[in-house]
Amino acid sequence: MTVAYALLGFLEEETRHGYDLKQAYDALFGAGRPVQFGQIYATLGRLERDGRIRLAAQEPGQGPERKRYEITAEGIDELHRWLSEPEAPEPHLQRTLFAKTVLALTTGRDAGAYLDAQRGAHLERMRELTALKTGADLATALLADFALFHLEADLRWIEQTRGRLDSLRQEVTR
Amino acid sequence: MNDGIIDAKGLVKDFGTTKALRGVTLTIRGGEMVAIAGPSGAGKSTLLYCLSGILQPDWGTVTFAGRRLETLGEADRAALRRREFGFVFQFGQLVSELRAVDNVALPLVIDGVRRVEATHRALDWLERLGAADVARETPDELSGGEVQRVAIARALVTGPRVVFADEPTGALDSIAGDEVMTVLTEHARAQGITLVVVTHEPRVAAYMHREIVVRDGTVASREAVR
Amino acid sequence: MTRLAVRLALRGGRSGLVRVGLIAIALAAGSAMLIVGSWVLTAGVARTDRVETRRGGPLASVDMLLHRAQGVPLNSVTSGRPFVIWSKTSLSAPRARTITAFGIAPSGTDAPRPPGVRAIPKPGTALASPALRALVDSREGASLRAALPAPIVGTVGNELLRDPRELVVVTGYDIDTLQRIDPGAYLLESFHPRHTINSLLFVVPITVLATLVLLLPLLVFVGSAARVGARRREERLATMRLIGATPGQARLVAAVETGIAGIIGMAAGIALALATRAWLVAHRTYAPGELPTSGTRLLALALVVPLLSAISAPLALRRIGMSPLGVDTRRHRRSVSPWRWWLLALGWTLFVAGALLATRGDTGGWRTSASPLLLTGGVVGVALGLIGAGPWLVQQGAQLVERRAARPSSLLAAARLSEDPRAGFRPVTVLVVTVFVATMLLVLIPAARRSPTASQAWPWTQDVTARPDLQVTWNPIRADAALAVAAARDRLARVQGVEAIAPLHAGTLSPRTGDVPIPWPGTDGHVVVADCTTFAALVHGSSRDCRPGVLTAVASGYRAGDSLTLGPSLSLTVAGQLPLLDRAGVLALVPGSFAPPQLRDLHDVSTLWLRTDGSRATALRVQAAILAVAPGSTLEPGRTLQYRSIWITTTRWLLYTVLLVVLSLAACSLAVTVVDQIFDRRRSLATLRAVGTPLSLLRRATMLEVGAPLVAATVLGAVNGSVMGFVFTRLNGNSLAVPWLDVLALPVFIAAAWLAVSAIGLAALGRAAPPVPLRAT
Ligand SMILES: Nc1ncnc2c1ncn2[C@@H]1O[C@H](COP(=O)(O)OP(=O)(O)OP(=O)(O)O)[C@@H](O)[C@H]1O
Ligand SMILES: [Mg+2]
Repeated sequence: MTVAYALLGFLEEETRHGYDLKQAYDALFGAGRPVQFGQIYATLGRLERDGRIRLAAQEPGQGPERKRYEITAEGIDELHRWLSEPEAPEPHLQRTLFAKTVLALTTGRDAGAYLDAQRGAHLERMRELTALKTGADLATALLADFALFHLEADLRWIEQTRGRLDSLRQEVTR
Repeated sequence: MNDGIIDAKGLVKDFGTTKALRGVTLTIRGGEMVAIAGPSGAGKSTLLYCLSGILQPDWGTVTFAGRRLETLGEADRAALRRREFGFVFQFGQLVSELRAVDNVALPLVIDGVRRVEATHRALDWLERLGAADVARETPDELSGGEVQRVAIARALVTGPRVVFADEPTGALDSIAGDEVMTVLTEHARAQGITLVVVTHEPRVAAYMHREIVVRDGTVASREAVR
Repeated sequence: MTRLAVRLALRGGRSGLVRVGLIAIALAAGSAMLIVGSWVLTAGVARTDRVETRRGGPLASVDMLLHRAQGVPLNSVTSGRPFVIWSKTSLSAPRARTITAFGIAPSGTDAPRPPGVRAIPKPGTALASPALRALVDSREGASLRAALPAPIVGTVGNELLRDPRELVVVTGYDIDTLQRIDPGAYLLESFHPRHTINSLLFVVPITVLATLVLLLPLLVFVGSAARVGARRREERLATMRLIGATPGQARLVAAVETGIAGIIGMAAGIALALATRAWLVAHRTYAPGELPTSGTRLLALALVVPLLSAISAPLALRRIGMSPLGVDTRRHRRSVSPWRWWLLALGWTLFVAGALLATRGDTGGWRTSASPLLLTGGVVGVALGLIGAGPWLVQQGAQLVERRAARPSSLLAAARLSEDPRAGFRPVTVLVVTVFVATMLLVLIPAARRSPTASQAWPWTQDVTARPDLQVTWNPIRADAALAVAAARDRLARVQGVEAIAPLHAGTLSPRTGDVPIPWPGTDGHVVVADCTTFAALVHGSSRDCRPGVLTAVASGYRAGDSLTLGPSLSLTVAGQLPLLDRAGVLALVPGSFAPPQLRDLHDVSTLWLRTDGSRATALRVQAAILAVAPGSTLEPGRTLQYRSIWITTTRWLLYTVLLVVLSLAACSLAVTVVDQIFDRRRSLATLRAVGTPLSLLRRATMLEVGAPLVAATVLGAVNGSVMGFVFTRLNGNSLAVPWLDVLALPVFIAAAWLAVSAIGLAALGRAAPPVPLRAT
């Protein structure tokens, strides 16, 4: 899921080979667990099919690694929508949140606005859970607390990142 | 748009070379519960003090229920704070020599309520906040959560229209913090009191209707008023 | 490490500097007081010695009366050794001053010389003290020139003078003339002090007592200064421990701080003392030689106070928790147990026991010696008991008010006092003792002053005061004085407006051994003989024991009922004692009209006391009358006749000075403590203001908080003190005369101190507690 948007983000900068894209992805999000070539090519194929990207040039020789892709206007729209929309607050979001932040930075978008929006979405969910808690039985309240603490952890991370966006931008755009 | 109970326009406040507030504009509607969040040193406390007439902004205006705070003298603002506002702080807010019940009764006694009557009402509030059994003790003998309950009782006893709280759960663990926030919001809702809470804890902010994020002395984001 | 400590002391924020400054000021004041006090004391002892010296040496006891009566040749009295005849009388000078007039007649060229006299003046010439010379040369004193016995040809040195301002004339005579004009003149073989002050009995106790009385409040002040910002410093020390400093190093910081203050204070103290000395010398209160500026002595004295404070400052801070975990900032209600009354009760028990023993009378034996001991123990016990009982009283009062208070200010003040009554009472500790002692003395001294005779020995009671409206004085050296007085008396009796005349026979007397040995051989007495009834009309309460042949009072050493032979055909019965520390003066109040003629003859009337209608016209008529009959006499507004010893004068003067100093110091301690306590609670006060408590309310609370213990201390001290003083007065058989002015001055002073301290506290309040919640420091 995030891989697709990451590829869109890289292609927004310039046209690239599949190989370049894997390198770029691993550098930013790999974190010791490099993405498979297969997954890259499969994603590229899907994106091309959906019209988000298209073939820019076919260099001599055979095989997918010879293909150079470029992003379409539709692809840019899609990327933009994704980057500016907060994720629905649910568990295990950290990879997505991180990817969105970094991509926003590398593509020159307003990562702060994104994080603030995400914060709003999280807080809204927390408000619902807090409201659910009042007057509920203990088991329900504890379940709500479970979600609340996780969301709070996300929010803390958001706040932490929000406070260090400038340093992060320098790091990811070199 | 002047339907807020508190209207702040272009608040600027400097402490020497430190620019604590650089033009804050916001509106808080009657009965609303608002969280003020933001990183350390962003100016949250300063904003709260300006809104509640504790500090005078260098620039800008604060209007409370149609009264311009900056036109009032210190004595009038003190009276306003005593009668219309309630306060809950993080530390050191109770008079350590006075017993809990006297701490709660103090604002009433200052306003000329007879001691017996004031004590009666103070006990009543302590009871409602579940702190009746510590009424006769001094603040040093209380736990952090009990201190905050007593402080909330003191803030509510005068029947204020707005309660300002600055990190009310800052010194508490999450259970005590939840309890304190629950009683605070419950009573605020029941009395129709406007609540302004400065906090850096999302779980505390989640008790409020709305959050105002302050960064570097300005309002960074504000949610739509629901 | 030491350098770090110095830096911390000097740069450790304002509170460090304030602390160093306050301690330095206290030490400077203390050192200066000690140095000046020691000067005054030594000078006082030296003065008494000089006065004793000019009274004469061992052979002065040769009774001139006897010599005259029996015609023993003077040479045989001295076995041929050289001698002088030495007489002492007095003359009046303008502004109610007195000139001490010595007469000297040498046996030959090798006759002994009095100190300060380089050459004995030839008959018909006189030497004068610098002050007298200056007076005679001035316009005001020009008329004196004629009144002096002889023209002035030289100056006497300071060695003869009590003090540089004394008016003294030393006139040369030949032996016969001097003996004729002053029958009381002595024969002297040498000039030595007849009595020297027993330093073990007098100087040492006085020094110790004065030092204690002055140093106690001073040390309390140093203690409270050391406490300034103590909490902040405690926190800093705890932080130092946290980063690995040893307790010794942490304490070194405190010690260095006190040390710096000590050095500054010592230097300033010496400077202050030298400035005081310069002032005293410039005003000729003391001669430069009387106040020696030896370096070692100054340094030694200046060291005493810093050393003592080095002990007292850590004592004040002994509750510092030096643990690396910091200080326990939690405060607990510390209740004070009612057992604190026991010392007070014990004191009163001792006192009452002593008083009961004393009233049992003069049975002698163990009771006589036990009674003063019990009384003294009682006074000390009560003084200490008051310190113990004060906090309890404050606590009870505060708790009562705290429960009932309707006003928020009294609620706040009472809560604070009942939370820690000891802290509330601590600043007034010195005050309660001072007020206690002061009221006791204030009741005691005037009561003694009003009583012309006293039946029992007590040092305060040797004070006789009489105040006529007008007073006519003759130069007693003039041979015709007696005639002049007689004439004047008749003439004055006819002047309109004069209501009563009391002739006073005054002179010197050397009583001879009678049935009872004279306690101090060679004692001569000042005698005032007056008509009993007339005297009573002029003087308070003097009609007591006015019976023929009865000496109303003589110096201690005699008992009532003793018979005293004063001359070949003159003996009197002693009615009571008038104890004198200044043993040389014996005051006898004799019912004049019944006084034996011999006594009257011995002493010319030199003074007439007049009671008039008080009008200026009468005064002018009296003046005209005496000018007509008795030229050379002086007419003055009635001077208070004071046969007080130096002791009583000095005591009163000293008492008031000490009181003022002690009370001021107490007020300073109070101010320092109050300000410090406000700064200690600034967070709580600031929050109170933030939530809308008016500053005026906090001000009122502060004033109450300071004022309540002050009132408690004053009432406690005053009640105990005045009751004790009253009992003492009764024991001495004096009538109680309450000195309203003095007694009222005390609360007025305390109220003023309270206002001043409160003002300082209120100023501190505004600064320490802005209406914004303070951040943690
Ligand atoms: N009385 C003061 N004197 C000087 N500077 C001050 C004062 N009060 C606040 N400041 C400064 O103003 C800025 C904002 O302070 P403020 O207390 O409002 O921040 P905050 O958001 O409440 O921070 P925190 O979350 O740490 O409480 C800070 O840089 C602070 O140092
Ligand atoms: Mg704050």
